[in-house]
Amino acid sequence: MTHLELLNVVLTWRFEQPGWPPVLAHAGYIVDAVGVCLFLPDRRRKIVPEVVATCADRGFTALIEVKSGRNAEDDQLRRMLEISPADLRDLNHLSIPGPEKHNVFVVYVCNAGELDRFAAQVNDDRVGVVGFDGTRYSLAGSFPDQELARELAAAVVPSGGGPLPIVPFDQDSSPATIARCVLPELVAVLTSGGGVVSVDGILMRTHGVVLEVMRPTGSGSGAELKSLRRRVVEVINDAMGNEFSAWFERLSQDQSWRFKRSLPHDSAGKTRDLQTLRRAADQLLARLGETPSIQLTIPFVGPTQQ
Amino acid sequence: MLAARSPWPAAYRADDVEDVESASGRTSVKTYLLEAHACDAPTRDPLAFLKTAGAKLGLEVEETGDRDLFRLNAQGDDYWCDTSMGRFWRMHTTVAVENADKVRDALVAASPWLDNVWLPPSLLEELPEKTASELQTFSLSHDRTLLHPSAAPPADFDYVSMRVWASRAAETLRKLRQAEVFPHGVSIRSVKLRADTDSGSDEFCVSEYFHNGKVTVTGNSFDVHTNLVVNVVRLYRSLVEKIEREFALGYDTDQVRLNGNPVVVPVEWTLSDLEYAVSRMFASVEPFRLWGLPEKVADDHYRARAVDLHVGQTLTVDVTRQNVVIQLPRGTCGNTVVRFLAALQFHVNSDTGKALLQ
Repeated sequence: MTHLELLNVVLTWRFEQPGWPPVLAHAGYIVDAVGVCLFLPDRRRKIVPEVVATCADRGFTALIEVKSGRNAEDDQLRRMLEISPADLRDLNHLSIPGPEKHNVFVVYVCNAGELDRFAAQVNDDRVGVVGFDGTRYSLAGSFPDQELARELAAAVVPSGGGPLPIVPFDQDSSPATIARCVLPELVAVLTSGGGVVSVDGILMRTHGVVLEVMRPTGSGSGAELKSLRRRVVEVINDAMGNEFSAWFERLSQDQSWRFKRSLPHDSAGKTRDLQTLRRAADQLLARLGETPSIQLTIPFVGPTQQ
Repeated sequence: MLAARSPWPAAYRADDVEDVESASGRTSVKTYLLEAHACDAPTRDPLAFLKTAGAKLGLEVEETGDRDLFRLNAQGDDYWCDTSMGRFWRMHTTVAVENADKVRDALVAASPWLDNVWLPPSLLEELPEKTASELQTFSLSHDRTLLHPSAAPPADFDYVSMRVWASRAAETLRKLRQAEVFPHGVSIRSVKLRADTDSGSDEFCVSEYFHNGKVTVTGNSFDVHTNLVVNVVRLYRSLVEKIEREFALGYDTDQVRLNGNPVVVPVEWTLSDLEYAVSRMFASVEPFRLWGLPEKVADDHYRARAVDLHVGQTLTVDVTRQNVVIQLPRGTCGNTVVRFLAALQFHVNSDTGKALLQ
């Protein structure tokens, strides 16, 4: 699985989805944050675990990190283990009742095939590793919270469909995948009468839940988010130069675009233009090497509503 | 104020079986329920919004002595827009229904920030019980022809369209369901309710509530009508706000925590060709009015990030043989989910999503 797919698997632990056990909820955890920066005691360095979840009753906070590569990052792990319950409460404003009795631990999530390799690299009694093979989770390392370990070990996911794309694409996604998510945002702005659309406005909509996930840990350079922005800009500029050339143009050097025309006010004209946009989108997807959307040619029959 | 200006029709008779909606030229009161979208929309300033929209349509907009009530005038006809219930507006008029419908439709079409209140069939059916009114008449409208190809007819029947007048309408509706004459096809399009005053006087109103937020009224008390319509709007508001509160995905900046969940609605499909239905749902046309790029992600599993053309906001929909799953981003109106499920109730299975829409 890619990093994006594994991240969406981890998000099923929080967001209820058919067939996917919300293991964090079952184990009594509340997700505090997805992809939020946590400051370390020096108030300068920071970490950005993919998920931060707390079980107040048993006194645990899990910092969950997805790893699709083959190696753990020693520096990142050191920083994650450095953060204390008091830091979570005092520096990062998380609700941690009784920090003196609270425990922070790290959970790495990786592909099942990499489980042993990761476990060998993270020899600490506050670090657990979860491998996922598509239907089951297998565990290695240490899990201070046995309740969470039991829930993960017992969870079974039906084979077949993957998790919902709570995070719909990342900087490694194909242009067609990005186009499928970005083009509707352009049409939404056009439909609501907006004249200008920006890359950040689009990402706020497509990645509203987890935008911070794309930020790098530690350096604060925003490299991951920059890559994501760059990919969106590439896709939109490609569309603008080809199938959507009649619809919008770039605004100077900004990462924003202006619509050249608006949708007609009359229902028939509006529907005709929207279907033209559908055809343009399908031509773009086909050119990018993806099967066009399933669609029918449906004549517009009038402005009746339901 | 409006009551004093309204030429109320003759008192309701039990044998009055005329379809109020189609009665051209009638001058009974009509109330149109509208939803003005929140989230930094121009509708936050109703007067400025109405003036801007009205200018496009030739409507004159005036303030009144009541800061939440505005008078709209279209070629001599008055409409009274009451914005006192926040994003849920009520527009009253005594103008003939065919003209009033046109003004409402034009106002809604003029801006993506204003929409009809779409009362789903399951909510319409509950109105008598939840508003302590009497169900006098109901109409059904269920049409499966839109979502299946002609070569693959749906199970049981194609469509149902009927209007029932009965002395015990509620009991008739219950029997109709129990007998399964139209399995999963009893989709309420309108209900006519009689409401009386609590004081024991003879004041009453008979109001027909349509799925598209139109209310036609006869009777002798505008106050009784107002009480009833406010109750209905409160029920609808509570439904939309519940969806936004429980399901909108994103950070709640007040609680500083992640909130929401995908909306999972089990669906018992009454059609065999799911791919055809999905392609129809996202084709920018009625009844769903969604623009999207649906893709097949697995056997009998389709996904589309879509634009709700009513409001110009996006959502992601997964459709499988077992259920429909909707990801509602924080900031997208809850009425998008209500309208989507209502369309499934009208065109696939009248029992879809009932638990959520109650």
